[in-house]
Amino acid sequence: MLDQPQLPAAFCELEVFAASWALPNSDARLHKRMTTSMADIQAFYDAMLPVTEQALAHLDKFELNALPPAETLLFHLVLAGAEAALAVEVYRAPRLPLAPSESRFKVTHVHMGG
Amino acid sequence: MGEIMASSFMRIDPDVPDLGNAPLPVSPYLCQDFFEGEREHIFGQVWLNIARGCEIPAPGDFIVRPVEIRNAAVIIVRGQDGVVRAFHNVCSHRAAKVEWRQCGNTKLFTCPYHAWSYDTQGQLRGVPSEDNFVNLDKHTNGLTPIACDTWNDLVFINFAPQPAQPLRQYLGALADYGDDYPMQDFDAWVNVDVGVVNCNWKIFLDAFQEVYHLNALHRQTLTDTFKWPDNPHGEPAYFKTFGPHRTISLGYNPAQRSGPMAELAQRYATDITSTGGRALSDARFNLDSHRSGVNPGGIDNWALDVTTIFPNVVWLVGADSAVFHKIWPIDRSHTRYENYSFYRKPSKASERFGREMSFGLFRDTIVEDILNTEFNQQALLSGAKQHFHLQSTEVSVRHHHHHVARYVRGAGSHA
Repeated sequence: MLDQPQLPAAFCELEVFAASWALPNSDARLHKRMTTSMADIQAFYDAMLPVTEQALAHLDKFELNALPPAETLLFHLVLAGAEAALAVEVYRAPRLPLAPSESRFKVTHVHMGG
Repeated sequence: MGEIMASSFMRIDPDVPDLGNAPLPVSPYLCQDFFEGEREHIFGQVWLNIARGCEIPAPGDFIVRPVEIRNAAVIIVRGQDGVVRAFHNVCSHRAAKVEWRQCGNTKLFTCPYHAWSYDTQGQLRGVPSEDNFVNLDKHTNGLTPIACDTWNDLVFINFAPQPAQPLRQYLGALADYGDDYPMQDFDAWVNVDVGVVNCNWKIFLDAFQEVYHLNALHRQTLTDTFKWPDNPHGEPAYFKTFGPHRTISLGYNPAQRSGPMAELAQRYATDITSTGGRALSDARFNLDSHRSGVNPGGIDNWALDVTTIFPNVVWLVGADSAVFHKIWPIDRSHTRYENYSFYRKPSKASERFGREMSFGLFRDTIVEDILNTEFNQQALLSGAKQHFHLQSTEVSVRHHHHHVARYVRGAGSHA
């Protein structure tokens, strides 16, 4: 565990979510959302909503393409918060009823940072 | 102008031709002869948008893209002279596949079979044991070129040995419409690769050209996004055609409610439904300062133009993003779909966060169409229905079918 990067100290209360939600690409974050219960998504969202603005203010002090390990973890957690927010604020469900399996498409980011 | 063109909200550009109001026959979705006509007279004759120049910014950068309906794999490469060219990915020796990577940077394309090599301008440079060939002319045995030209950083190819029109003429008034659009600003992207969808390519294209289905199929993703009190059904605001190309303009709902995380996200990055904020006003100002021809109807609450570059690309023209649906026919009932959303390169984590949320909603919306289009194809195959009934705002679908049929009849390039 000592080798695992940890969140910046100011955000240590989010540590409990890091292992499951701080995933490095959007396909993995989508998969996590689609396979998590609404109660667990809501708990993660409720933890992220009050601190996301502060977390982004912290991350914006760094070069986007050169985030240190702790900030990288926080960045991935904040991006997962956006994914969770879609379920909570828009769909009111982990997945849409007409959504195909997420294995049917692959998302790639180019020059998008992080 | 046919009676069906009447609409309670949508305005139609005065130059749009009368497209009639008859039900559309379903045979173009099903008939093999019709598909063969599309293969020959459309995908074998017209300019096809296959890439962005920003995907291959440096000399030697290349991508290889399939065009199944032409049984082709196309190398698109920026030569050492900076010019973008296209070639068949086929060796001049024994017609092997030369480049096996999908993208990269190279000075030479070397065929793995016998190591014949070609430079980035397609010239045959290396032939092992060349002395053992009799009368081999290296100057006339380069990679087979495909006509290639660029407009506003969009790379087009044309499979006709002698294209009937130059690219600019083919685009016609669409080029005037988009000449000043700041495409070059949007050089970072997110790609959604869906791969094969089990339907005719026009079924899929139809779904991206009309907004009538947003209130039903996308009711959980785009609820209230494009409707407001004066436009309660969320109709498009304006329809305009440019020869075989077309655009429909959509307005946003100024009173749309978002959740707190979405509102935070919109502070950092705009999306097509953003209704205010500094980032959006900057983007709008940028668009206006380019005096671009987008938003041809002058819609006050303009959100985006849904612009079809005939035959198979739908460009979502936004103030702060340029999104492309690319719909490639494979056979009469299989299609390959890929989406590219181009943005400015995010400079901060907060901007990327804003993009992540708006893109996530967009991603989930576009994949909602996949299963519906496949079920649509299966239902069509039953033979139960011989016609489609189109309402006034589906005029974009009607316009597409009109021009597809013209090309298949062989009358296409004489618009």
